Amino acid sequence: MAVATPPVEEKIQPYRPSSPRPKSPHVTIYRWPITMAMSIAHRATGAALYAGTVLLVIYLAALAMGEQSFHYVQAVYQSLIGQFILFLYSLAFVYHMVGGIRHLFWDVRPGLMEKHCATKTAWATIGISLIVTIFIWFVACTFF
Amino acid sequence: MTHGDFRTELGKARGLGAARSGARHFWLQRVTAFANVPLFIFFIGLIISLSDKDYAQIHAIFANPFIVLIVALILLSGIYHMKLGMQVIIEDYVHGNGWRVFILALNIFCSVFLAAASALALVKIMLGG
Ligand code: HEM
Repeated sequence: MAVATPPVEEKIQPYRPSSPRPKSPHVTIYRWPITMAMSIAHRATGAALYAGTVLLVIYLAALAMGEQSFHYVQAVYQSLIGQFILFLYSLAFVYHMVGGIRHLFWDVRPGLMEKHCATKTAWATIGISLIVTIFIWFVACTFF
Repeated sequence: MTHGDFRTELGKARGLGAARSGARHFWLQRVTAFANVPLFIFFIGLIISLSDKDYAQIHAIFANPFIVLIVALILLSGIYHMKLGMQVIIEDYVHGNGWRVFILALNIFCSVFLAAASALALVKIMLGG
């Protein structure tokens, strides 16, 4: 008697049109609405903060390893390029945090996602992020 | 878990979503995001206050158990949130079974490594090392 073979999984073929057919416009042809740029930026900053966490853990590890390694890391972080990267890190951070709060409001009040409202809060997020980041550096540089 | 359980009745009964664990992932992403707000506001203040301190002073600050507790919470919530977020990004862009599983595993390894390394550093600093 033949042993029942398991069913062969049907391969899903990718869609390959043989003739050029009319397509509906894809995202690439639109001028980016600010809300779309914001959405991408939230993701990009989230990914950038991953790298930022590495910087943070290096800082803590150096502090734990002793004075010499700490001074070494501090020198790198305080160099011009280091400060520039830290500035971008702080900007990405504040932006992601403010944008994240915007996301959390959407979760409890989905109505806020309405296009005109979302456009306003998008600009507000950009403005608040810039102001807060500059404020942080201002305080750090003048009072400490 | 009644609050924050966004699953349908059938979904609850089966305990599985299309991705087996989507609702829980979504929920934890929000919880950690919510927790991150006060934690990281504190953290930004802490970092600002460090800018005029020397090694001994910074070491003393990070040896304070209260600071250690809060920094540990920051790292826990932050790294967990980061791991969940990066997982979504990978699931969206990385295709092909082998490659995808590899990158997903890499994300977990990196997150756990960062968490473990920072925990070890904090403990060492706190114990005066
Ligand atoms: C400080 C407060 C923070 C808040 C309020 C926050 C909020 C959020 C929210 C609500 C989401 C979900 C967005 C969505 O579903 O599209 C998200 C995604 C994400 N977050 Fe955060 N976050 C914070 C900090 C961080 C930190 C510190 C990191 C990394 C170290 C991080 C990394 C990510 C990543 C990688 C994603 C995924 C992005 C995506 O799926 O497009 N976040 N964040």
